[in-house]
Amino acid sequence: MRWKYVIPALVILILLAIFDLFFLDTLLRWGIVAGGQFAFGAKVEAAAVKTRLANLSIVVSGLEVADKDTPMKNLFSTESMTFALEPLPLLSKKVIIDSMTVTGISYGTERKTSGALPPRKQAKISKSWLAADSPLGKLGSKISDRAKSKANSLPAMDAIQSAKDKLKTTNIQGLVKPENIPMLKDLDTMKSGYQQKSADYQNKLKNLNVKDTLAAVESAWKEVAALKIQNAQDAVAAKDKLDRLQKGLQSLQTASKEISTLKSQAEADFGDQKNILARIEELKNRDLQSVGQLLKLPAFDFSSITGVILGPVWMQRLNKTLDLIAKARAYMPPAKAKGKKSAPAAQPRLHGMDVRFPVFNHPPDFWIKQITFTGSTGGAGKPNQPVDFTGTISDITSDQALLGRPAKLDLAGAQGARRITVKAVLDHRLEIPTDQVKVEMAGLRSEELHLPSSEYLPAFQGGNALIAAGLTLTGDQLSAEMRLALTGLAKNNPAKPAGLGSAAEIASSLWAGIDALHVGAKATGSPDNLDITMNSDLDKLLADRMQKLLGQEIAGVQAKLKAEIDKIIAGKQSDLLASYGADKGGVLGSLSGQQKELTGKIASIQNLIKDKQNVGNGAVNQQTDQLKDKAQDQLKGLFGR
Amino acid sequence: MFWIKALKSLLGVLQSSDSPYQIAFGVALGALLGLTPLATLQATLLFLILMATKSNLGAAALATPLFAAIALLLDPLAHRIGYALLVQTPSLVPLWTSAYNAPLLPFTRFYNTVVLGEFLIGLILFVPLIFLSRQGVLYYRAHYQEKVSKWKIMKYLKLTKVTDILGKVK
Repeated sequence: MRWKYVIPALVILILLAIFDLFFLDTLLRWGIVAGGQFAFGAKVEAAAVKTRLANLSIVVSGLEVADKDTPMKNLFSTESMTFALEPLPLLSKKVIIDSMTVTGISYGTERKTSGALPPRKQAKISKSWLAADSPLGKLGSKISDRAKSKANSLPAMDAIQSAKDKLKTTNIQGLVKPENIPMLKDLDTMKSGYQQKSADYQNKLKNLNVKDTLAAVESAWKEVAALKIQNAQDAVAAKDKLDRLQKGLQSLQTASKEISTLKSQAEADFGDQKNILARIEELKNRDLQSVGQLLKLPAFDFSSITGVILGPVWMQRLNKTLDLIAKARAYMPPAKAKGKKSAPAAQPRLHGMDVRFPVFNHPPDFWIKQITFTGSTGGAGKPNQPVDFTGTISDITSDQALLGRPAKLDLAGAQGARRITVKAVLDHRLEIPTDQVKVEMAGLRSEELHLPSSEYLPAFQGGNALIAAGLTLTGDQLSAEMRLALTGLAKNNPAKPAGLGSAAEIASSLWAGIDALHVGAKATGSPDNLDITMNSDLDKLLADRMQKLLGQEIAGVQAKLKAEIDKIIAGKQSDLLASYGADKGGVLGSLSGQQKELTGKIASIQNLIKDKQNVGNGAVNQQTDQLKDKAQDQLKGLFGR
Repeated sequence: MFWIKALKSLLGVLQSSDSPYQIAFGVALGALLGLTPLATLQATLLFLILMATKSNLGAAALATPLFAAIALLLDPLAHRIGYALLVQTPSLVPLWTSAYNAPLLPFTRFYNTVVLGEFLIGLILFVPLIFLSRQGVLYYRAHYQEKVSKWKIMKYLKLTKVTDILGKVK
């Protein structure tokens, strides 16, 4: 044995053991903190890390992970995490943990110091895989943007109050000036339009030359009227005159038809007076609106007050869940990502061929078979009565496709009527990963919901909240739903002090008598086509109340504006109506008069022609009968009868 | 410089007071190490054996690069041997499969045709190399050691650092 070598080697081993004794735990702690900060983008602290090489166990105590969005709170913290590495797989570069125990989990607890990372570290992390250019990052950004815009979509209470004040002090006469009323010009235009139409119809009537036509027929009529038809010869002689009169009759009938058509057109063109009045009303409303705009009142949309108030909270939580899923996907990549992993490059010295043999029960490179955990919904800064929960997480692995099982989380806790259930399945076995999370919480008090502070919301207390939320993320296709039922609500402003600010007054009257609230929310789609909807059973009620609060002043001002406009346009309006009546009456009167004259003449001609035809026919028949009788008499004489 | 160092090493080994077996083991282990890729488990084990036993390090230091160079020439033959054993001998497949699934053995890269072939060549040559090296050392010591020790260059070489270090390590 070469002791000169063996002894230094033993010394090195002893030094390594000493290093483990004094420094390995510190190094591991540093690694956990650095890795955690990289993964969560916020401060990670571990009170102590204790390793035991004998059984390869590690105990991490007092782990706290800050929330990057609210640095004075923890995303989660644990009292202790205990796990042991399986030794044999380590020899094949595989980290297999048979079971891990996590105790004292809590979330959203208050921190004594800020959990925000220094700007330099934050910048470094933002360039990492957590950056928002991944599909889930984009989805998160979209939801975050929507939450911000939704939160800002309600006007501030003081804006409403200032609008109310403005309405009270508005100088109506100053606003409603003839130059602000465009309908004055419109009324003039309408009047001249009707006058023009009247002139056009009169011209058309004139062009028909009804008088000339009547005069031309009159002479023919007189000739026929003077005819005396006593025999058949007279009747034959009258035929030409009757034919001329017949032609005259036809020209009169044509003129009558044209007048009739013109009359119909005129009636349609001029329309009914009530149409004129409706048009005037329309113009008046238009001008009322434009004058109203001079008041420069903000646009108030209260159609979804509850959605606006509660939507951002839900979206922030949705975003946080997506953030955690993104981390899970990064550390547990789907099958495709594994396929991309290239085989270790062959050393230049190692030519030849690598022969692959079947792999039996080959575990993934990293696999935590089961995590058993306990925790509580309470903690620092959470005054609510805590609910203790227990749960398991199974199959956390770097290669689900190889393992053939998805990662699962089951959490349950109950304390009396208060209950919490979380189920999650993270299935990354296929190329497109599918993540499902279901959360149910019942028996919560309204204070525990952390409803946002809004001028529109009174401070609720007590009550009984039931939350059911679900999320399915297939690839980057999101389908999330949330239902919140809050019943038995009480408001924390029982006495209204004298001189209470108007914002509080408005909020108080807005929610008066309301002790229950049901909210539904949905988010579906992909980063490029995200659809978020929120509704509640109180939307219409609250919107009506809000509109009513502001509407009284608005209605008063609108009535004054309308009366002022009416006063200004009254003269023009009556002028237009008078002119319209005269024009329409004149045109229709002329047309009717001419038509009446024509109709009378046509009837008289038709009667005259009929009379003369009857007389002519009688004379011809009489002469025929006489000739018949004479012929009979002659025949009788000829045959001696 | 390289040739001077090599000459110093060679003369240092031949003139050392180590037994012929120590030198022969050094040569055989060095040869096996030279035929084995460095980043493998067996290379590490061979190195540990070499350091822990009293085999002559100078002989190993000479044999390792020499056989590494020879290995380059032997690659085609090694590949054929490895291929025949790994692929063309079905009866051995269960053995290889078990080894492939065993915890540490994949670190030997036995599943590479050239690595397996050259390691086998090394093992086959191991005993003959011990025998030949021992015979060679005995022959040298019987016929040339005295003559060589009288060379002026030996006096010069004894003063050099390399000879000193080798003398300390052996």
